[in-house]
Amino acid sequence: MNILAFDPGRVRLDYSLFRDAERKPIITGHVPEPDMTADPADAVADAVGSALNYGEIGLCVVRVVFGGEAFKTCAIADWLVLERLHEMIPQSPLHLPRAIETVRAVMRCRPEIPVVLDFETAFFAGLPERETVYAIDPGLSAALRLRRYGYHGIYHRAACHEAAHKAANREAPASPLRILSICLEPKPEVAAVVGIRPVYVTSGSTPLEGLPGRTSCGDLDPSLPGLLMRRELGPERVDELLTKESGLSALAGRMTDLDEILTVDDPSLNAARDYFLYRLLQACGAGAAAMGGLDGVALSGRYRKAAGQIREWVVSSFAERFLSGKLRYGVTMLEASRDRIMADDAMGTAPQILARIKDAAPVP
Amino acid sequence: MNILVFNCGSSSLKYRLLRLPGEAELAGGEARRIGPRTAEPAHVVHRVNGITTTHYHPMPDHGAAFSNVMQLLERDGLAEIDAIGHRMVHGGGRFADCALVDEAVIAGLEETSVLAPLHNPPAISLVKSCARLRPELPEVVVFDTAFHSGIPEYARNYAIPGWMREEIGVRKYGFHGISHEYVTTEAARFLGIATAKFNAVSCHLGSGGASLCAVVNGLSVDNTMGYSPLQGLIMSTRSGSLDPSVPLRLFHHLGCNGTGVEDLLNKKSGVLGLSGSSSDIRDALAAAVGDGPESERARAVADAYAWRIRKHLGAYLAVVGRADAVIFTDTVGEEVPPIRYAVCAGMEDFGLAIDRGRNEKISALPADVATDESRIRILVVKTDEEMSIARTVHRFLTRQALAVCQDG
Repeated sequence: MNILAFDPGRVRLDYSLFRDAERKPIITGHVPEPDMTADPADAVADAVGSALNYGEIGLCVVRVVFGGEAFKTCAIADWLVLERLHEMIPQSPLHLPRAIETVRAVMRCRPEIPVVLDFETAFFAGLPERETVYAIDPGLSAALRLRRYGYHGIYHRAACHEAAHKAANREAPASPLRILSICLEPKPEVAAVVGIRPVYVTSGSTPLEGLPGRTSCGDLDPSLPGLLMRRELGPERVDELLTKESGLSALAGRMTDLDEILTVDDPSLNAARDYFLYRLLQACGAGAAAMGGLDGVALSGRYRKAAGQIREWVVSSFAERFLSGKLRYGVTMLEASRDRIMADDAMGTAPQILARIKDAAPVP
Repeated sequence: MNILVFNCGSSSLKYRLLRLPGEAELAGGEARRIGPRTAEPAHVVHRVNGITTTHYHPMPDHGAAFSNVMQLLERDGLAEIDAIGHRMVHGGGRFADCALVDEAVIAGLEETSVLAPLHNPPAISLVKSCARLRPELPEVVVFDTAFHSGIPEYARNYAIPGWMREEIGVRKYGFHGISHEYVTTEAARFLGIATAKFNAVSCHLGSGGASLCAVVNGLSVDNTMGYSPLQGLIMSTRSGSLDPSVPLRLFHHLGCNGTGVEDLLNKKSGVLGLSGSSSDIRDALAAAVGDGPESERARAVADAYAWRIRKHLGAYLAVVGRADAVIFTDTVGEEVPPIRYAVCAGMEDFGLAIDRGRNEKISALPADVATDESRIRILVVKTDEEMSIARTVHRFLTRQALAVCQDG
């Protein structure tokens, strides 16, 4: 069976086609969408068209960054699901419209192909309240639907599964594993996961909170947005400053990323590297405290060169100074790419899809 | 050396006359209701030899309060004062250490006051009154930010565009330094470790503000507060850390200006915002016992409060590396055992084990509430900001005198 995975980003639509459980995709590509007003259905149709050259598509899967509290697992797209997503647009105004358009376009273009929605937040929908809550009037939090989430759940879940699997091969753990999951993406994220349950995550009501990203600020004094607004900067401009002109690139004074700051020996990158590793150290300490201990560390994300350095750092720096070197199950590196994980997630929903088809069968 | 220490509030003035190096208190008290007339008249609650008396005088400003305090001290035969020490909340980027007051320092203080528009101006006005009324007395200003002036650049910075750092001076300052420094010294002394080799996480949990401080070799290397005292822990009425997008969404939702949101996050959030009824975490703990939605809400408040401290404690234990102690101080830190327990329980894997019995039954401070096996000691230490200020003033003036002698 061929599975077509979509990642609707802000500026382009990425897609990959996988055959069954093969690690490498048959094809990958992206449809640039510099003009947001262009019909997304065309982009999707292009991608589907290319994929069909390699045989029938059994399943499509679409990455959805935000699924709120409603979506705790993958969902199979139907009009009801799309309606619920539509209601959540105010909570994720940049990502959700693109995701909805993509799903809708696949459904229109090939109504016979089941479309699975893979939510980044689903893994974190059940975070304990003490970890999700902000210390403001609960009425305001409810009105604005403010609570904390993680935004790399697809990677975290797979990385923790892999770490648990590896540990189980060595010895059957007596209690649920306590794993720190470090996701190295343009907006990096650390989660603390006990068994399959996350108890801590660095991100917040948006991906802006937490570790600094390529261009996003990460943790900030909450008085600073107000300070900037009093300097006659509008809220849109402040948002833009903090999401697109900050982060590791602002510290380096030029565009950079995790791979570069962690592997290239260039003095101009020192400030960004020191800052990132210091924030990561604190996140790891906080996550370990949240679990009351630490059995292993799982790395995932696109920055592979950085991951090699972080693996060293975890063993020699973090575990050494914080745990006196005790890290029973070591560091696991997840090799799979996100689109491959999404294809796996989509295949995991096969029983539900079959059940639906059965249910639907008697209807003429 | 007799040092008169002032801790200035917006409408109050706490004072203590302390003799160093013995650290004896000769007198103390508080002037209240300074400023425009209120329902209750202005008065000084004055304490000498354990006897407290109340004196009513009009006090339109902090200068008048100072004069009243001096008169009371003279009446009690305590006019022999060698120096005045002032607490100043914010020293900005300019004051990395305490400062002997002269015209240049006053000008510097006035420049810095925009960073703490509520706290610094009354203290500055007091500094000026003292200089005018008793010009012969050396005045030393001690800053809450100074202990944190050695925080390394990677911990002090925010990952924001360079112009915000350079033009606006956005950086972490850190606060509660006077208290963190005091309890660090006391804890090291209690454990018999030289302060210069002492590593710890200091938890200043006040009835108002609260912050954690990472201490390496006796010096602050990080503080959970940031550019302002709003960042970090959940406090009585302050929200502590938020997603940076939250203030922006609040501006939009409430349709108010920056000041309105700032007020909300500083005065109506934190424990008060979450509970809806009380800014005191002890009320939440009391209400948490029992069933029903009110108790459930109170439990959630206490849970969130302790959880935030626990996360930051974990972060700072990682920063410090091999900590000798975790220190709890100020009202909540000293007087609320369940919070200490919730923060420290289940941390044995990191060498930190709290003893339930010891934690609940403390007879005198400082107390060690860790188990015998715990590698990291858990200390409850009474803070004393005025004594901390007096120590700083004493050290500073003694060094100055030595330098003058050596030059001579």
